[in-house]
Amino acid sequence: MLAGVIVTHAGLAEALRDAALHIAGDASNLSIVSNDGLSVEQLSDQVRRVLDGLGGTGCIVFTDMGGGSCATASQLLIRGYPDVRLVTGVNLPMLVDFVLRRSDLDLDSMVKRLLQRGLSSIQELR
Amino acid sequence: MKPAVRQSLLRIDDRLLHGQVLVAWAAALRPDRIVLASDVVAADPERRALYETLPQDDYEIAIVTLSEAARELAAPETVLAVCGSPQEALQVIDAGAPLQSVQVGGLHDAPGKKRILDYVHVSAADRSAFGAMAARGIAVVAQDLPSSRAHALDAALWGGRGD
Repeated sequence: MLAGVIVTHAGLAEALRDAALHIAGDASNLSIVSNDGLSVEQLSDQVRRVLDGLGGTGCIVFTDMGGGSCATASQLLIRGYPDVRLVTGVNLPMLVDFVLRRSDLDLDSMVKRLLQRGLSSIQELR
Repeated sequence: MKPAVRQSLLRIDDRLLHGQVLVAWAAALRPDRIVLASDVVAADPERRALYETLPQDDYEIAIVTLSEAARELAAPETVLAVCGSPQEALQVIDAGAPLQSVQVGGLHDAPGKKRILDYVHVSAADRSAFGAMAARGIAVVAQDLPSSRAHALDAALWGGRGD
């Protein structure tokens, strides 16, 4: 099973995990980190601690904004972890899809799927 | 909505380029360029690449040394420049950046630092760099976001008695 770590500004990670749990009924192996009050170094340390504590077949780090401190810190950090990938622009459809499919997809297929899912979930409805 | 004055800005922020800078300040200032001023990042190909490929479409991002940043800030264009520490800001100023003020946008807590504001924690070395700026007639103003209150950081604040 793939693990997930949501790294975001303020309380977004916690809220996203709560919402994913509400819809998918499962939020196990889904860790959260907020950048609140943290320097980039402290943020990296927190994400590193989470990654070092993971088992499983791989991990996806979800961040909110590319270019934000969460994404920048995570991007530098994961270079030392061959089985960890980083996806920015996390949204609820993407996260729910991850939770529901993470037992039957490998890391490469999951990343590809999440990018499609994240983008296709953004639409204008009339 | 454009601000009345588009003036170049030097921001001290230990997160360097991040959301508050790329989104909030860039929108408020509408700079011609965003400048990351750091001798360390400028000399590190891996970190350079990270900032050169930031996912944003609106602004040119230049990654420069501190002395190059002084030239950027002296140019007629509007530049949003960010460096990581008061010491580095002082180097930019001493290299000839014509500034009347510097902005303190984020200095995070670490052992030995004193809290001034939620987002401003200063060490003894930070305080002496701010003192040197004040001695050059440069105002030190803390402000994390364009919409938040600006706090003048004067000697009484950063040099005064502890909390």
